[in-house]
Amino acid sequence: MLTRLQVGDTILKAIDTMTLTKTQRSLVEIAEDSLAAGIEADGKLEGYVFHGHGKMLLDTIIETDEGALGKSVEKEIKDMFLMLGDTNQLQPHLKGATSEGLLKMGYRDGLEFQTRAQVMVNQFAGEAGAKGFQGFGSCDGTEFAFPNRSGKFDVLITDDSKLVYKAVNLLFVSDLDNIVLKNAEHIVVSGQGRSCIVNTKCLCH
Amino acid sequence: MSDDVKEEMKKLREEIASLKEQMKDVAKGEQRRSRGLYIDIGDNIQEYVEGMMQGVAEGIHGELEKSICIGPGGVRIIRRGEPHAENEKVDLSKAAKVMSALGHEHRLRILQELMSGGEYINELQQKLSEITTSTLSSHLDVLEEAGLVVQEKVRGRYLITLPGRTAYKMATQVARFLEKREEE
Repeated sequence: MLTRLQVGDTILKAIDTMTLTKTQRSLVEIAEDSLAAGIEADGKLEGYVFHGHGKMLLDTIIETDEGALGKSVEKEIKDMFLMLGDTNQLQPHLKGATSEGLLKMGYRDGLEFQTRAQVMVNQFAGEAGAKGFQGFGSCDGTEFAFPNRSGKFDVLITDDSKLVYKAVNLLFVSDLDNIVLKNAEHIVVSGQGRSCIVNTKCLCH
Repeated sequence: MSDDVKEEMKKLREEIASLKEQMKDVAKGEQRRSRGLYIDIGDNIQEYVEGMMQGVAEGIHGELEKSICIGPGGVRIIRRGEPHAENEKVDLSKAAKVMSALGHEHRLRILQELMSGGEYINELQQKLSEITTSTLSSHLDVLEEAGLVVQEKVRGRYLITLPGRTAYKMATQVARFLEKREEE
């Protein structure tokens, strides 16, 4: 059953640098003093909205017999973003935010943060084509949504062995054995030690 | 009928008979053509064959010149409609950057090591022990700047890129070509 994602009214701040995800191909970190608010569905904590300084590293590279294709994505995080999935390990690194902490990040009070966060959550849920949230079930994955310049979201989904990243002009899907990359220049499908490379620039001629 | 007319009539009959014979020969020839190739080679068969072979040779030579480029990298077949590489517009500053990146034996050694798979910097350091860590790091920066190598930011491994492989192969093939010429 679909339920509405609701941003909680308790605004928190990071007491140290937090690693939100770290896998073989991805790393998302957020700095001390970043603000956070829980995202709930049916009273159950499903994730957080964060606002603070951080970084995202992502290796969207495929090794083929012809050479490596793709690149590493390195992004500085400055804007509000959301994280859904397993967040239990984050709770010890968060404590209640003070008014000074909120002012430092440009918010008059907790309500302003909560309102902006709810707008983002609603926008994300709308973009995802869902009226609500179905939950991750038994999946251990974590989903991030970073607002991009086109007014939409760059989406990153990670778990220990799998990764999905969708951004403007870039799609990268990988598990332990197979990888698919689509960027402005190539479409590459790789698996079982074999690769198929399509140069999309050549297809235009 | 006068004798002159009779003589004239006899000549005409002979000519008609001769024409009939020629018609039969022509008809036989048509049949042969319809079954396959019929070439009138005339009396001098040797002259005909030599002429034909020269024409074929000139045709093949012309086609080869148009469609095959033979260079130090080997033979490259140019498909019809594909522009000659010489006519393509190339960013020469980029080419110079790549050539500059290739212009150091240590950097070529690094590319050689990476041809067999991605390596961490400490693995490269062990294999290329004659290069100091700081020099190795700056060589990798040059190769990465030229797009010949890419580093995974999370794991830290260095990988040779598709242009990197092509550039390394080109450099080694030119070296082989020069070695062969020196031997000759």
